[in-house]
Amino acid sequence: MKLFKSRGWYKFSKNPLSVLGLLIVSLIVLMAVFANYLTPFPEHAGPFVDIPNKIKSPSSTYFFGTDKIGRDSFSRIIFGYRTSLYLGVIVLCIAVPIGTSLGLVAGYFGGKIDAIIMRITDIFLSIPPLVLALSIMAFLKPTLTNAMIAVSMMWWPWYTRLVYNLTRSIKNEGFVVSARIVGASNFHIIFKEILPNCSASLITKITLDMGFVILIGSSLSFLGLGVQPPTPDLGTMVSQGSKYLPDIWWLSVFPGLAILVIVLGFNLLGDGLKDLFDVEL
Amino acid sequence: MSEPLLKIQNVKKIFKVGFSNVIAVNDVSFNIEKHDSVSIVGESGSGKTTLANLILGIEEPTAGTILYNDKKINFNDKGLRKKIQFVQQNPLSSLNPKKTIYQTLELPLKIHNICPREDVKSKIIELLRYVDLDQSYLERHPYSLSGGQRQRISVARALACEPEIIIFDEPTSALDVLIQLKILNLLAEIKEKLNLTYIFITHDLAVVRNISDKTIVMNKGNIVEMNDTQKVFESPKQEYTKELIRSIPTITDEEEAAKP
Repeated sequence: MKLFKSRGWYKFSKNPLSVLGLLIVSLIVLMAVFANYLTPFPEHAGPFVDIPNKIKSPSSTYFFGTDKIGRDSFSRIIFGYRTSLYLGVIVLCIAVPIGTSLGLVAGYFGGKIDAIIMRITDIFLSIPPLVLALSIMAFLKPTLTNAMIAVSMMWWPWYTRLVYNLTRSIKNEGFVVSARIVGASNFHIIFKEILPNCSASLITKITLDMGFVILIGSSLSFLGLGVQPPTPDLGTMVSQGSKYLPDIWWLSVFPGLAILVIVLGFNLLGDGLKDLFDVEL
Repeated sequence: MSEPLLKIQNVKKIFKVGFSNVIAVNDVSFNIEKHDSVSIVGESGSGKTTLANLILGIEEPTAGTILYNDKKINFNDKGLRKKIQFVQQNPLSSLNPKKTIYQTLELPLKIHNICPREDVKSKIIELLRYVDLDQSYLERHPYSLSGGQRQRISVARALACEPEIIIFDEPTSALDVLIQLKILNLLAEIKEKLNLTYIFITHDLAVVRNISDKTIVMNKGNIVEMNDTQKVFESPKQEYTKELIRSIPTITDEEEAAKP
């Protein structure tokens, strides 16, 4: 394949940890997408009860054991990944466009618009993320949708800050001056000249953030404010399993490890991209 | 003699730096005729780049007026915008690294409706030919081009607007000597072909001597000498001009002896 012969791939593959990250992320994404075909008990993701098989320890049938109503933990973890990735993607789909456009506008136009946008951003950034999400969740019903809204609300300012700083430096580059002299509109300059030159930083930050968003989402579910049963979610599984520690350890340890692996995967991949694109975040 | 193309009348530009004022351009007046090739020379900080920005309309003069065909320079006037174009000093940063050459050259054609949509490609190839490049460059990105090639693309972009005046800010200072000569010859050729007016902002007097008919010497925001290039070099009137000419590096002893 052409990709594996390119210079970019060579640079990326020199660090084995980045490749490991890519491997973990692609494996998890594949498993989550094809969870219906890959898991031994896809029906266990729903409101399923099998009392005779409850609280089985890990075995060749139930890799990660079963919970107190007989559901296979392994299958539920894979479906839990699906929930986590869904949350991560939706949150970033909301936060990135909002944060990026505010950062572009503030950085490009400067003056009063800059002051207003950046002060609001500062206010959001000054509140600890989890506290902000918790207080938003206190007003809303604890559902997956509301969890997404809450996490998005705390995530956009980071993109505003990042893109703002990039825009401030890119707008003085020669090619932006040239575009203005040639007669390009502000719209063209912002979206066709400046934004494409932010893309490397944005892609890297999005990759790193996927892990963090999933972590925050899991924390919310752990506290009972995110995804509600019977939808499988890693955070919920950890919190429910923790009641039975240390005897029935597999109920919380495996979902916990699953969170660790996905966050680690995105972080390694993000770090690899950071080196590849040579960007500062 | 016909009406001058560009009239710069008592132009003054003051920048506020903290609590003090810095006079970048101090009461400067001169005219540029159509088809002229004028050099504005001076050391760094002499106000020549500010003067270029004023002519382009990027900066507004604090006092005085700049008239192009008796119309006041206004950056937001699209018609005027296209008539005065600019080629920057640094060919590394003057092209968007994310755009192909095609996309870079397409922009001015679209903004000013230079040609119908279906002719854009052939027009771009024509522009590339003006600067001695061919259509194999269309899909390339700036990083795969040399400094000289990038500078040619910058020139092609300026030409795409079908301008009357092109301002060059140190057009050759980032290029090596052989490429410098090629670019200068190319510029002279294009000027004749398209009947253009050139303004060079430079401190490289060798370039000035090669390409311009008139020279304006600036120092600390003021014009100290303004004459035909040949006269400026043969019999400089001002001490400052003499000093500038004396500081040109030379190769032979005869050249050294010919200095004022």
